[in-house]
Amino acid sequence: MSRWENITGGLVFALFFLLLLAGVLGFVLLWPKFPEDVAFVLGFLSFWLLANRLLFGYGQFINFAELLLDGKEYDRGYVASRVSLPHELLRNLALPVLLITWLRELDKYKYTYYTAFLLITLLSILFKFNLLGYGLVGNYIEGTFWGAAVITFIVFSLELIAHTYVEELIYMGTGEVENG
Amino acid sequence: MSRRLLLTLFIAILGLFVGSGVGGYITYNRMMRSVQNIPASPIVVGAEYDRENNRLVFSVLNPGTVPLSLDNYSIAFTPGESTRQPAYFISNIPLGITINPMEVAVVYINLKEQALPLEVGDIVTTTIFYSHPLSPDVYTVVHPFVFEKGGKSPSDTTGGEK
Repeated sequence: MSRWENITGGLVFALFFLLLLAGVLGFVLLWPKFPEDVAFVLGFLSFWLLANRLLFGYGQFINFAELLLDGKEYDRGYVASRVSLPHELLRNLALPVLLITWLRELDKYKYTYYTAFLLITLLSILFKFNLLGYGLVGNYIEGTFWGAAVITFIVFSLELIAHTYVEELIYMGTGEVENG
Repeated sequence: MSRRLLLTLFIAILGLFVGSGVGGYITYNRMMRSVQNIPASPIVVGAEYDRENNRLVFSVLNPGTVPLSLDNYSIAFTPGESTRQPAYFISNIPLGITINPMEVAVVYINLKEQALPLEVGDIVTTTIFYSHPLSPDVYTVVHPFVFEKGGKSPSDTTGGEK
């Protein structure tokens, strides 16, 4: 059994590696034909990597808040696993406090992400207004900026939506404490 | 509920801005790339008279990004006041020169055999027929060469498309 697992894992890894290789090869082949588009996709992917925790974090928070507001059953342990607090506190804290702490946990990732986006924005503005010389790389920096802007738009929207749930959750939280 | 509606509208408008920015960036670059591929007209940047071989020496620049092939040329000789050579016209003399992008080619324009050397005031109007690989059409560039003292062309960069 273990041997088969090893073989399957090896196959999956090989397939993943081949896919990665094909992706890199595709980029190398497309680079001379569509350099700006490749810069856009690279900016999109790299900023997605940076924002992945935020995208899924806010998404999970919104899903959970919808679940609570609909009055369905929920798992308190799920919330507890998202919050890095001592166990003694987790047991005693009310659910709204846990939820707000969940959002606060994402803040450090959020500001790290926004700092990276601010840097690329400043860089692309400097190139755009020809303060560093637009010629060689400026256009590609701008492409990376637009790729990052798409991800930033999604992060920003999810963050705004997630924060609208907090108020409603606090008001209904008084009833929820007895259940949870 | 109204707050969430406003938020949705705000996000939608923000999305429109981001989308138009991305689309504008990509469209602009695609357009610039296709504009850069439009073939240019060759420019005669220099013209001299070679008295020994009785020919004109042109320096022809291809300012575009598409290689141009100079197929043939024709010359029209208009006599000045101080020459005894009558006017003549020769056409369809093969050239077969390909100018790569941003390169200058030297083109020898032979005058009519047994014709007298150029005198001051003579005008040789050369029409070069050229084509490029993107279209089967044939284009022309006309260069009027006025022979003056020193043998230099008065208007070195005169080369207009007809």
